[in-house]
Amino acid sequence: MISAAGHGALITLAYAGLPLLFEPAPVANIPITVEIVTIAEETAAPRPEPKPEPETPKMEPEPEPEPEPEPVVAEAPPEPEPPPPPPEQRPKPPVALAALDPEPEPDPAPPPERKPAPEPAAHKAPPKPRIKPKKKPRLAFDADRIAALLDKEEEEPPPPKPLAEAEPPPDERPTARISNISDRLTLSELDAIRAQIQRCWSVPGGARDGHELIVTIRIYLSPDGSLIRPPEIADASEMADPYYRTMAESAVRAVRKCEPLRVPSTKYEDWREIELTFNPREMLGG
Amino acid sequence: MKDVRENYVRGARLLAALALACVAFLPVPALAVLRIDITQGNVDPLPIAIPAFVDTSGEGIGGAIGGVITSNLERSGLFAAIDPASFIQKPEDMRVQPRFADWRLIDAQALISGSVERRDDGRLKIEFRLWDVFSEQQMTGLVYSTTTDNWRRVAHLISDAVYARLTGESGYFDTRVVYVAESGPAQNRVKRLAIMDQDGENSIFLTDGSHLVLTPRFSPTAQEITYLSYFLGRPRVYIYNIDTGQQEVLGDFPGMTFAPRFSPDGNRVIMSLAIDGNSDVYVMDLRTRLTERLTRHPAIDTSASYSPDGESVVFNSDRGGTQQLYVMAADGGRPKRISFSKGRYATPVWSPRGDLVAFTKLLRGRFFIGVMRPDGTGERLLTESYLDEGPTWAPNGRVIMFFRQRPRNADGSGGETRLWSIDLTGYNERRIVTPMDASDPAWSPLLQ
Repeated sequence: MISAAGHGALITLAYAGLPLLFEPAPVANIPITVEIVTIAEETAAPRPEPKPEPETPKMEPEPEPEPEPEPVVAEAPPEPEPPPPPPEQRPKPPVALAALDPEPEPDPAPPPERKPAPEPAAHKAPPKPRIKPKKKPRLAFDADRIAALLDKEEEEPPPPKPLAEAEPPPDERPTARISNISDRLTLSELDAIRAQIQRCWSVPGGARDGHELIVTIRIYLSPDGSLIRPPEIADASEMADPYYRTMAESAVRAVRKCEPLRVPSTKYEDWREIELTFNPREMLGG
Repeated sequence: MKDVRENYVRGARLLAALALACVAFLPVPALAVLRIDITQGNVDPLPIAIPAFVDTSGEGIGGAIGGVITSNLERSGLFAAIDPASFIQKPEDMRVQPRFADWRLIDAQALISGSVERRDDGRLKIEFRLWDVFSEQQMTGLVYSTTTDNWRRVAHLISDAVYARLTGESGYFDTRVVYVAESGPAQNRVKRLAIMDQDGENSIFLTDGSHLVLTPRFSPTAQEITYLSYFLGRPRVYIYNIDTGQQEVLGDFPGMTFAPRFSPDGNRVIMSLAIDGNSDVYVMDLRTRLTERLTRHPAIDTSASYSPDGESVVFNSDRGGTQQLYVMAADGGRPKRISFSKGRYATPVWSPRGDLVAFTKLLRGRFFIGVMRPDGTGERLLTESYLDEGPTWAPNGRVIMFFRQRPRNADGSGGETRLWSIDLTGYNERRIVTPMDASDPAWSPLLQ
């Protein structure tokens, strides 16, 4: 619609405005119009002009009805097997220092033992024994995988289940539609995605002191904008560097905080996999 | 070409659609991956939830520990503690595992859980865990064994661990600050050496005030302080041992010595020596007590400070006509001016991180605390007031403490002298509350 309106306006302006070109005042207005047109062109670039309607919806970031209500639900599921590394035996050496001695990570495991309250089973030695019943259902999120990812041993082919569940009703239609639509997201659509993540990203303090760190992560989305699997940190080998790790974790946190992303209802193939590069430098004034 | 590609793309799409329709499990072949640059973010403080530590020791310090951690992290300006009134899950219920959804609901991104227990030997076991609320992962965790009266220090250690894990920087909370405590009327000011925790707690006097003291500086490696004291009206550089309480004059020079600072290895003290009105920079080796002269110039050279690698020295000198900053090799070679803009520069201090030099600047009757790179580029002024002076770095090189004096009014009121801290960003200016007026702060390294 907007695009159509834009075109219409341009044409009208061309007709009505041309004669006016000789006068100074109107000229000033023209540049504005022109800009609008430029954007529209970019967005429309690859596709046949005739059908501008499908785009309209995309311009608005919040087209899809379903994703929104879900947020809470979506988040809930991830809990499944949060207990990250509880299983490990506690490596902590006996404490004895006079004043106080920090012992390296008291590893997570300890607490559970004291209070077995809710889940009796949880206790067992096995690493991620505690599988809370409900969690599994939905997103099919695998906390194991999260852990694995963070430890950088990821690379599994998680798509299977997630896809299956996610797809059922909503996607089919979009996919169908996709086929006859341009394969490129419009700038506005890109901006909408970017804006969401930027709002969710808390830049770590260290980065604000001018450490030049750029972190790239890859995310895989289901058609409703939720994560199919944990974000992948592109240069996982850098995680030993505390600054890098902090940045990478903040990037992952940003995506998770934004989940589900509000994404266009079409062109799923274009955004099902996104590579996000987080670079705070510009913001920090170089 | 284009047609071909389009055809191909269409074909791929069709295939994809088919695949989806028939075998829902087959992933669609990916086309080019969408790339998005995120160049803007939120610089608001990170929301963190810090519930009271669950205290079963009977000491009742669980809440206080949480409180110290909260105020440390908040004072850094990088964290915003979430109001405990909004907490959904009770601290006692978190001992098995936090209910992350509850914490996400109140917008916490990080969460600290902790406990205090009595051990069999009577000591306390203080334990904490830091959780990433969104990833539902434990980010770090430590256990401390300590005596009850040490709880505050443990809280600082925990603050450092949390800060380090979430910012990538090392912390600076388990540190102390030595300063000059001032009291009495302006004409007859009593100035005593005092030392306190970084947050202003546990302040105690080190000297009795019978002699004026100025410019205390911490040794980077030992419990020692070097400072200037007027003894019998003569200013001299002294060394004070915090553990033993002993103080001694450093060397016996014909003139007056002042502006001392330790070298990064703690083995030398660099200072100014004024003879017949001309001051130059000297360095004394504390082991051999031998002194070496580093500058030789009729101008006033003073306020020397080593780079953290010990290779260079920044100092100020009026050899160029006005008071400016210079950097020379540690042996006194190749002095080079680094400050060139308007105004006068004083009290340069090299950052422990090595990347910046902090200084006091006087311009048009106003004082500023600023930083510049050691080559003189990138000058930034962080604070401004009637009188700001004496910057000192936190051990992680991202916070600077200094003192600020208010103008003294005709009726004798005003003139308060207080300690403040400022972030490298120039934001987050905070007052450090001291029992009385305070000046000349010097930040210790992280305690051992």
